[in-house]
Amino acid sequence: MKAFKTRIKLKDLRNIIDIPKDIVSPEVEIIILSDTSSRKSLHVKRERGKVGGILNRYSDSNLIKNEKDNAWSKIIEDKHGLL
Amino acid sequence: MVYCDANIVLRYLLRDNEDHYRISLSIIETEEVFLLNEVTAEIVYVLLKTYSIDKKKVCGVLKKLFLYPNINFYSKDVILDALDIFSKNSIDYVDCILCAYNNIEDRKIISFDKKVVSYINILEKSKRDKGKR
Repeated sequence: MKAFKTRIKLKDLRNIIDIPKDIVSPEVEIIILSDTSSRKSLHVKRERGKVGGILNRYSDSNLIKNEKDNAWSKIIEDKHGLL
Repeated sequence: MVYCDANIVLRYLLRDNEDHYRISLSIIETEEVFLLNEVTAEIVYVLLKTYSIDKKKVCGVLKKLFLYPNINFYSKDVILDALDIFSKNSIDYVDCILCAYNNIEDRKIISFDKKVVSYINILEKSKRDKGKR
């Protein structure tokens, strides 16, 4: 973990992040700690036997927007004929 | 443990958005993931109804995915059994989960749906017959 400490004018810092109103002083000290729990690299090799992308030939980016709206209503219609 | 929405799994399987695919891949293949039963139902319905993928294909792919050791459920056996029942019968997937709870965990299921009642009766008769032997 890396750390960095500095002082900054409070009014300048308020322009960047929300700071509780009860903190009042001309300057404040800020300490920045690097996040060691960050998500791992996105460049993950696909392992054998995994099914990532296996349905790619059925993909149609135009259908993504229909996922939430259509699937549930269609199944309810099929099952109960309510719609 | 991360609780994933259906769209994470859908982007992983369909790979229709490369950025989202990479993110979903990094989650599904490296983290401890929990899938709610409701989410599994949404995945099934979207693949069937929105993408018109054959039921057996959907069940086969989801079975492989759900067998990943880092993918967790309330009961993995129940979900895998539900997929198996769904692939072989014309019973709604959510009802298959009910049937699987009866089959795997001996839960008593009550329904007005004749298909569900009939299937559960067959399951219970089969279990009774096995018990007699």
